[in-house]
Amino acid sequence: MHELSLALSLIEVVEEQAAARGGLRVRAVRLRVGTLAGVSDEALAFAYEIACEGTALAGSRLVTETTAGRELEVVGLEVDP
Amino acid sequence: MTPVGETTAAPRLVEVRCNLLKDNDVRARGLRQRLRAAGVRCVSLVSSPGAGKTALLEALLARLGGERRVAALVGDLATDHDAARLARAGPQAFVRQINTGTLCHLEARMVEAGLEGCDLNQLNVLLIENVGNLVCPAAYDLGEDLRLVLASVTEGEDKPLKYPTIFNTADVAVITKLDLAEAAGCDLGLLRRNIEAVRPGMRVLEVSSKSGTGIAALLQLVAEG
Repeated sequence: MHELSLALSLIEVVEEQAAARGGLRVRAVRLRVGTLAGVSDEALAFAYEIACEGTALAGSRLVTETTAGRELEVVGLEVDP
Repeated sequence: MTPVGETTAAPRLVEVRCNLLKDNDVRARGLRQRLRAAGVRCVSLVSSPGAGKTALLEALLARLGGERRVAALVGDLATDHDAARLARAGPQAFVRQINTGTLCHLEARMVEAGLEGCDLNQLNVLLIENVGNLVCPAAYDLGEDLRLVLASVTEGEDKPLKYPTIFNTADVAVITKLDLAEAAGCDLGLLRRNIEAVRPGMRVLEVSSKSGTGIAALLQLVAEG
């Protein structure tokens, strides 16, 4: 149950990536969550939503794909065209 | 009517590829390299709260004297009770408590901080006791050579089935409180079968920190691999 701290790191990474690409407006974050990563995607989505409030990512969604390994990987961002 | 604007247009996909646990993985790799270069064998213990991690470390520390120099890092949300216990059990050892505050697991950066001021070249064995938790510690590499997952006979035989991840990320399972098996009505065969079911081929040791049963075999594994 460390999803809140993971959500905070996730936001940090996404903000960094969006800024590095010239300030993208992020609608959704695509994630790969390994079944061995010890992460509940529901709890992570909940923590993410709350942690996003008041940031540029407010209102963005998490789209998770479950994989077999230990990874917790940001695969890509869905952004305004 | 849907307003026409940029928010309704199909989104553009930007590839990122960034592992969120990467910072910890990088630190853990660095730690593992430093420890190996200094000839330090690092073993960590994970289990639910009350499964007997500290008692097992006490039993190990009491016997890991002599020419082997040992350090122990113990993680808890609060108090230095465990460090005080371990310092009594192994007065020769470098013992340090890590208080995680509200965090439910140890991370590699806490191990780095815990080792500050400790000369690794003066060490042979580093023991790390994780926060009592069968969920979150599974996701964090601490740079250890060997991870032991403890299951006590008082917890019920189905612990491995309920928490498969921690058994799948550990190297060896240790059944603790063997002296209480009969009183607790624990079916050791079933417990072993359940471990085998979630992690086929996993090595299993049975110990009693109180009576000393099985400690010698574990000691050998911890100290020598």
